[in-house]
Amino acid sequence: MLHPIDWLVVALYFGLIVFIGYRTGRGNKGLEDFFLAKRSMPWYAIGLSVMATQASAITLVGTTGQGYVNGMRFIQIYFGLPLAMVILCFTLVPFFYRAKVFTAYEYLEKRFDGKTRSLTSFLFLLGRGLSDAVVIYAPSVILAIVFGVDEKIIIIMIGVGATLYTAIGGMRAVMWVEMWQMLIILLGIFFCLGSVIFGLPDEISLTDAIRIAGATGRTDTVDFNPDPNVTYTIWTGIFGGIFLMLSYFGTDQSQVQRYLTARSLTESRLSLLFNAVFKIPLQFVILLAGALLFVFYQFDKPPVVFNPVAYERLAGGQDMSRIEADYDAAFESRRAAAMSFAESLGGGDEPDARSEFLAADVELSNVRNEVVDLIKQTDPDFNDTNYVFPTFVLTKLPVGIVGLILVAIFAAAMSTVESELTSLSTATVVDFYRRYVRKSAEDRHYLVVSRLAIMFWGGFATFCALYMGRLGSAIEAVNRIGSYFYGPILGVFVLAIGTRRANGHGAFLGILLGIGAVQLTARYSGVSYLYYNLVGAVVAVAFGYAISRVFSSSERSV
Amino acid sequence: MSKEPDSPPPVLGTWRRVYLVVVANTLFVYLLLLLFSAYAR
Repeated sequence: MLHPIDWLVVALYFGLIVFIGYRTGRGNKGLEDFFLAKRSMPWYAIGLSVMATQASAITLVGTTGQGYVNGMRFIQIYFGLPLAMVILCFTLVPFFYRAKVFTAYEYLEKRFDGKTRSLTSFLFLLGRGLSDAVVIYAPSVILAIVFGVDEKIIIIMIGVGATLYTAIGGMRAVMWVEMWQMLIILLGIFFCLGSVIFGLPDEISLTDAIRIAGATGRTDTVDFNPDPNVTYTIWTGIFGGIFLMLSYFGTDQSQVQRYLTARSLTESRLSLLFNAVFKIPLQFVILLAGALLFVFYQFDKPPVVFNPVAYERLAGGQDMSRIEADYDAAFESRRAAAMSFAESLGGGDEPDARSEFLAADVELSNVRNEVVDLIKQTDPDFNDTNYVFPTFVLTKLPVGIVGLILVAIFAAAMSTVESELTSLSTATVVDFYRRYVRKSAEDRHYLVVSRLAIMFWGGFATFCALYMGRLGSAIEAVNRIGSYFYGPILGVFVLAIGTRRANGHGAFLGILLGIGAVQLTARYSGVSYLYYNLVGAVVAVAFGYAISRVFSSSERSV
Repeated sequence: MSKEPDSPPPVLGTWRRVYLVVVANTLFVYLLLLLFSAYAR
């Protein structure tokens, strides 16, 4: 259970963001104020806001867990990001900025036609509308189990909290709050890294710890394996990653809207280049914290499994005394082997000590896997990667710091939720309500509708998160399909700015064929999901262009 | 009917050097990660 001081830190955080949101969000007069902060934001606020939007709570908790369980190879997924940022800076960003649009999809009507704009905006609403529920639900379940709080309380704190100040303050409030949230997240990450390093035994230096993690392969960050079915390699990271990041940062309204708030095109570009430079180092630090956590638990006995509820459920129905005795013995022998390996580093007996340590690590893993297999008999999807980091925080960090890390997790969840709420309501109001229902009305009317749209999407996401246990598989299915949309939408933007002959009919059908191609790829090939956006974009461009030519020649002949 | 784009075609312009620095920095980061992995092993 959380200490009252930790709850106080959480309460102070909520008070601070409400205060910042209220102060910075006053005086919204029209849609440009409310959704684009009157195009007045500086690059550093946008850069941190873009980073905060991408860093959801599950990213923060899951990435450290990845570092612990699988090592740092996950970092390769970001290898394409800096290159994608550079490409966006001289392609889509100037087009969006100069077109003075509210949404990325609005640009498609200026270039093609209304149906292409409506289709892309609808696909965005479909995909993001349900993913918002997952963004709230996923960390809530973990935090509820680890901190012993009802998950509904955490869902309501995240969902209602983010909805309220987003509806009151609009985009300017959201972005300034996100900037502070990102700084809190960074503070939390560095506190964690420091806590893990200072928690190591006195005999183990930082370089010893890195070598211990390295012996198990956890510090491998670059894999040259050419197999496209392997997800984390330098090739999937660069080639698949570029298209993934181009799709996300170039066509997803939750990201595009951030850099549309810039006070100049230069500031838009700088905000993206800020991410190009700092994203990989940031992920490196988070993953390193996870890998060093693995070393920390060489000398401090970890629980058999990190999900306490799954273990207690198992322990209630099984005689665990034999397994726990085996686990204790295997841990003690691995601790001794790890210490011997650290002492041997640079000496002649290093190879032997390394072999003994690796054998002891395998032995401990075998005992743990015995327990995992038992849990999987009743819960086939069991995976406790996401529980590693919160368990460490709760059991090893001092009072107050636990509250700070919890606040960082809350900040990560809320920054993603509020970005999605603003983008969902912008697309709803600008691409549908103002386009089809009320084409001209007073600013005041649109402001009221915009706030209602935020409350609708916030309420919808919170409701779905509260009932996720029952709706889970349906929401996951829609979410998975939602991830198929981004590549084809990127393809349509390539047609829009890269060709003069593409037209609305070609773009519209290109998207649909692209989505179909991605679904077929996902179903019938084992290729890494990082390539899905590449497939979708290529098919949408090729067929969209070809269909445009067919339509334009038939129109000429008529 | 399609409409013409309302902006001029994109050019790298004065930003070319900035982009080159960012790309060079990215390649340098890849190299550092490779060296880190080699050292830790």
